[in-house]
Amino acid sequence: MRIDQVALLPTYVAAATAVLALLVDLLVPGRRGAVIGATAFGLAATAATAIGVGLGLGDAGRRTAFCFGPDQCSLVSDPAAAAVGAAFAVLALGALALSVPLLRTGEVPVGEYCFLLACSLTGAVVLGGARDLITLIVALETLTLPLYLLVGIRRGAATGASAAVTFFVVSVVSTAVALLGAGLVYTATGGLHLADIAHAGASAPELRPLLKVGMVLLLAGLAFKVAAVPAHAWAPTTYDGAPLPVAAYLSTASKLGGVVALLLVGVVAGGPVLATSGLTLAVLAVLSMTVGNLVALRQRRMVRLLAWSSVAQAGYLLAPLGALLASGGRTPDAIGLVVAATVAYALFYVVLEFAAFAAVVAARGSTDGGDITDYRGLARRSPWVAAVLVIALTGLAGLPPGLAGLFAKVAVVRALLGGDAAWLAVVVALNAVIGLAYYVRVVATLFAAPAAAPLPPDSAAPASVGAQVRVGWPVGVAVGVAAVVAVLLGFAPQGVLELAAFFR
Amino acid sequence: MKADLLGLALPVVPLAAGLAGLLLRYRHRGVAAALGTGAAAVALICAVAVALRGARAPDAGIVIADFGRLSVTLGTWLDGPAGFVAVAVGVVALCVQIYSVAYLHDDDRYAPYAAQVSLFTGAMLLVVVSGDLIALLVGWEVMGICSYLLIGHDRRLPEAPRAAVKAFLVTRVGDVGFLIGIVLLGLHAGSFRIAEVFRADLPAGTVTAACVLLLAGVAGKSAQFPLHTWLPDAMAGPTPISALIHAATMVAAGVYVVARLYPLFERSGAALTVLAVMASITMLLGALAALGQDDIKRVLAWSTVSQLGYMTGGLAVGAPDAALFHLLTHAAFKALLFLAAGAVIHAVGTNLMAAMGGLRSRMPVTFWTMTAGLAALAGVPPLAGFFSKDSIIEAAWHTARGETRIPGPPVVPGSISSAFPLSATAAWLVLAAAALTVVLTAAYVVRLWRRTFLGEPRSAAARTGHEPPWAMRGPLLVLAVPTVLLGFAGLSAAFGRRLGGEHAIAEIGVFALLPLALLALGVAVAWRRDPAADLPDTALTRLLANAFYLDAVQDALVTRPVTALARLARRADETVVDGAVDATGTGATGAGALLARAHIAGLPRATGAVLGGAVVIAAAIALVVGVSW
Repeated sequence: MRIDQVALLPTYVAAATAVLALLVDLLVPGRRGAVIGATAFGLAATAATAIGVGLGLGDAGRRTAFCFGPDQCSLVSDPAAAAVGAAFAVLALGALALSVPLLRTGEVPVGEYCFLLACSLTGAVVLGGARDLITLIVALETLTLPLYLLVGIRRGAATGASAAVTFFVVSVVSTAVALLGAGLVYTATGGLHLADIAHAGASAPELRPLLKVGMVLLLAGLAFKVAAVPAHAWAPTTYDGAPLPVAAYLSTASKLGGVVALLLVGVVAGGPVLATSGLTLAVLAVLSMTVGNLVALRQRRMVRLLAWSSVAQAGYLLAPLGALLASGGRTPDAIGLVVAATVAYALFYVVLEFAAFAAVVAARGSTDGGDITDYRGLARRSPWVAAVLVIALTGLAGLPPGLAGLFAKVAVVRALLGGDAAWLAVVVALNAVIGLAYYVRVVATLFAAPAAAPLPPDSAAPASVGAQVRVGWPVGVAVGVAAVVAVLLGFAPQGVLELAAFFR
Repeated sequence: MKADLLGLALPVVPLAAGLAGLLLRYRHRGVAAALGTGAAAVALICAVAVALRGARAPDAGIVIADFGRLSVTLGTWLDGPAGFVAVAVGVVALCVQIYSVAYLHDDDRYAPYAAQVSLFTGAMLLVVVSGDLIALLVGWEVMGICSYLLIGHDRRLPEAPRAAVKAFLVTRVGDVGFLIGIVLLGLHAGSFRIAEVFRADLPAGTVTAACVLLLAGVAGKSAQFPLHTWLPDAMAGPTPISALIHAATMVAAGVYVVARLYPLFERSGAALTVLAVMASITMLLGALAALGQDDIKRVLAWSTVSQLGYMTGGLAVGAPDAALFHLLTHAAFKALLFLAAGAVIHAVGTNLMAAMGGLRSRMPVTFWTMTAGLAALAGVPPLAGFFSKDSIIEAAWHTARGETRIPGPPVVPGSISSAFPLSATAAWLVLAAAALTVVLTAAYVVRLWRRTFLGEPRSAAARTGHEPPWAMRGPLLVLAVPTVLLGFAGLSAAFGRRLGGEHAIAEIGVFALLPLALLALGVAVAWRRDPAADLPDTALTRLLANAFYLDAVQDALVTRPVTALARLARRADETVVDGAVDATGTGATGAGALLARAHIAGLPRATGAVLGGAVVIAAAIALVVGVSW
């Protein structure tokens, strides 16, 4: 068995970052800046390494490790894996930047926080290259496991603890379902590598029902990671109870990981039962969009609104894959199209969602998102932050000026129409209309006159109402970069669509 | 040369100045005034040059748009009448622009006003010079819009917006027919160019249908019965606008278009009969209504309706040259009358003749010019109105006796010339109405003249009234010249040929004694009344003052049903269409609330959902895809 160490290089750097964070915390105790700086350096290095490995692949196109045959490799490093790894590293870096105000409060142990974040990143980097079921699930769990702790990391915050428990229990149940599915798939095909599963289907027709059931359970379990209905109920509680940077990481990096896993299992491994995985994903998509959008209409808290909207966005993410259901969607060209649409939408979504969370952190600090009414008059108090929030929310709604969201929705609908699944395109369009209602309502709130503080004079005025929150330059940089990237993607969506073509 | 540049400059210069003027800020009065008067002056110079140059054949024009085999061109056809009418428009427009500088000197919305007047002038000139029906229609519609804007200019008047909307809607009703008529002609002739429409071999039915449809538009613009109701109300606009649009130019556009397309109308006896009946009713109706008014501008407005009836009557009896001649003289004396009335109103501060009287000595210039205008209107020789009105009456006389022939080569080969298609009865109708109207015209003219200028002043303002500034007096004097002298042109054979006839338009014969006798009768009747006394309040005077209650008829027959229909449509929209939208919104919100409540229980339900969801999805797949394959 040959192991190409270069393919593993990003993973090594990410793991080393985790160790580095712990070591720095140990060697220079009490110096938060040093720990954060070292971690940030490590995360940046991970991104750089992933990009470097991706660029250095040369003509061969990929590097492999842990191979049992020409296709039976547990880990590959191809341009898609490199891009995914770099994206994860950048998101982790952004989450770290948003965490700076949180870490300064002293409510959170800095070394542990940075260590857990880097650990989660390590799992994510492996995930992009995973090509067998065990590596895939282990990588995904490595990505998720540190998040249980991060969600509840604030000392003395009861909501954080309850959020962590909800997250943990639902995750465990979902993983159990996914593992059951993986076991059935293994039983039916006798293979763990995605290539083996993909090619085993034709040999044993009597085992096909088993393979189908396994695939359904596997996908339904993995749907937890993208917070798709029915495995979604954890998201609002967890997002709202977790520190805002962790919620941002959950709704971007963790969701991106789920999309990658679903693509690998549903499309790459699901070759023989594409109709089954297509229908599963279509059902997940329709349920997520509808439930997410409808419940989001009734939300009063900002982070819960973002959580429900991210449930709905999971539906948009999975919708193109639903086209696999139709026979016209199962030709190689159509598969390439729907996969590219999914990846493109995922990238647009991640940038816009991160920008939204970053703006919330900039407006409110990194502990609590507050009620939507607290954002009245934000456009007057902090016009730049409000502008970023407007770009992010309108983009998520699919409206200009954040054209990224518009292009993403167009990409999804085009893929569906091209893949012969017009009914799903109609559902997407209807849901986009419902989504407009609550996104626009929040945007309108930003420009409304601030509430005439009805507080009695003796009560301690909460810092939320009308107060300018000082958050420091890292948050500012994160907000700025996210906004610039969102606008650039809006004006040059072709870059993302080309990047998405790697995944065909 | 593809397009006649001089001819194109006529509409283009005022249109460009108008569009530029709309961009000005309100406080730039000087620039606006310079732009408005400058554009009108340039247009007048071009028009005089065109008129002096003589008649031209239609040019090829510039193709603006191609629709398959049909194309729209911007070309000119500067025949004889076009040059003269353009000069009339230019003179009146320039006078009105100069007059307005003084008349609106306190108005802070003068700049857009001047720009709209320029825009209107350009649109009217486009109608006059255009050799293409679609370009003509464009000018026609722009005039409608400018008329709407200018009637509603004075926002302090409560009735102004109402009058503007009424004018717009009533003329629009006719414009629908006009548009369909143009499309009908263009499609059957294969071209919208007027010269080619004339050349095309159109079936008789098509010609009749198109002409009757065009007449609907003409009735709207030229205030012919039954679409005349907007014109008296349009007097809510500033007085110079009444002079420009509602006396001299726009209302004449309908007459001009019929004259321009006369070769088509000559082929259709039915259309000419419609025109004759319309003209007869309009003439009498306008004159009778003018007799019952006390508002000086409304008297003039009803007299305009009546005089327009003369013009259409002239067209109906086969004398387009006489109709155009009356159009030109009427443009001069009616513009003069409105501007003079404006001077009176300026001095007295009210439109009501009950508050005037005795203004002769205080306002000599206004008095003498207005006297000339009123005499011309009544048809006192040798003023302009006498010649033009007499020529129409004589034409009606000839047609009634079957002496009128279609000029040019005969339609039926072999005969010397074709008989005119209007029946003798219709011609007699026009003749009788015209004769009766002469009496009525003389009566209301005398009444207006004596009530305004003679007797004792009946109000404090009338006692202290004074002449207006020179910017207002000048145009009166300028317009008095054609009012007095233009009639003599009718004696010239060259002038008659330029207007499309074969000899001099006004050949004064013994027959001219009839209108003179009728005129004397009208004057004598009116002179016996005391000018200071208001009209007695009888059923007859109320009938006249309200113009036979045609507004009420129109209200009952058209406005109320349409309003009811609109209310119905609105209710349907609110309850059905909007209701569906609202229900969708509340339904979605309700569903959201229901789903949100289902999520309150948290952890147990969340885990249950994961497990239950997996089972449900598996079951759905078993149902849809099947288990075996």
